[in-house]
Amino acid sequence: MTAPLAGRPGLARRALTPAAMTAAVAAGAGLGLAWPGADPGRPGSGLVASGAGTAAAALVVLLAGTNGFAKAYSP
Amino acid sequence: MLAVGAYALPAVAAWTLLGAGLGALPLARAALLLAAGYAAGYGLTEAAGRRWLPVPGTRWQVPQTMVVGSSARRRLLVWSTILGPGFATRNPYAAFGLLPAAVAAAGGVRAGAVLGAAIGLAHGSGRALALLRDARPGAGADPMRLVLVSMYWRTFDGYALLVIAGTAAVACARQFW
Repeated sequence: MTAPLAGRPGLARRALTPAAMTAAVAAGAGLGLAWPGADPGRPGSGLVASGAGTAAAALVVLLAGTNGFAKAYSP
Repeated sequence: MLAVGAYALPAVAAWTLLGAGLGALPLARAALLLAAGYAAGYGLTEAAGRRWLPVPGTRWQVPQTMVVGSSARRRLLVWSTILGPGFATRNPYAAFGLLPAAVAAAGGVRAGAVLGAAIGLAHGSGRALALLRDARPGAGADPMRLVLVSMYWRTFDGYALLVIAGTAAVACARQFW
């Protein structure tokens, strides 16, 4: 019973991946549009906001990641 | 706490210096463009589970000769100074490579230094906590589980980069048009 169903999760994942990627980019774009500091009328403020945003998001990834990838990442 | 501090302090120092240095240079706009392109390219690669782009970095590891026969404190000092900042060792996920561009995009010495310090604190303490987690008896004993966890975090990293790519693209559009 399990053999015919074995490939379905993989197929579902492949079908969902482009949609999930698009949603991720759209979410990021929405975040950028809503960012209060990203005001192009003030010199530098947009760059500060975007830099802070990208760094903060990447920090979350690093912190979360270090909790998970363990020995592959440690001496 | 000693290990966390030992890893975090050199990381904060290195990243603060890097942030101040990059912030002093007129790189903010170029760095923003670079961040958007980098996040999009590596986000697609990692989220799709492909190997289109190799993760930038080095495979250098701390030589055994630097720690063999030394005291526990000296080993901790060597490892934490070299590995805490994250530049001189293997980083399996692409998000780390985005951080210098993000710091450079901050625009200014003060903003770059503050962002750099935050990144150094997060990276150094995160790596130390992972090390302590591994040091517990029985931790990480199953290699297959480690591979699966690594694949999971690579995908997560890819989607996070795609979110960053969207944000950076909007920031680019606001800055250049």
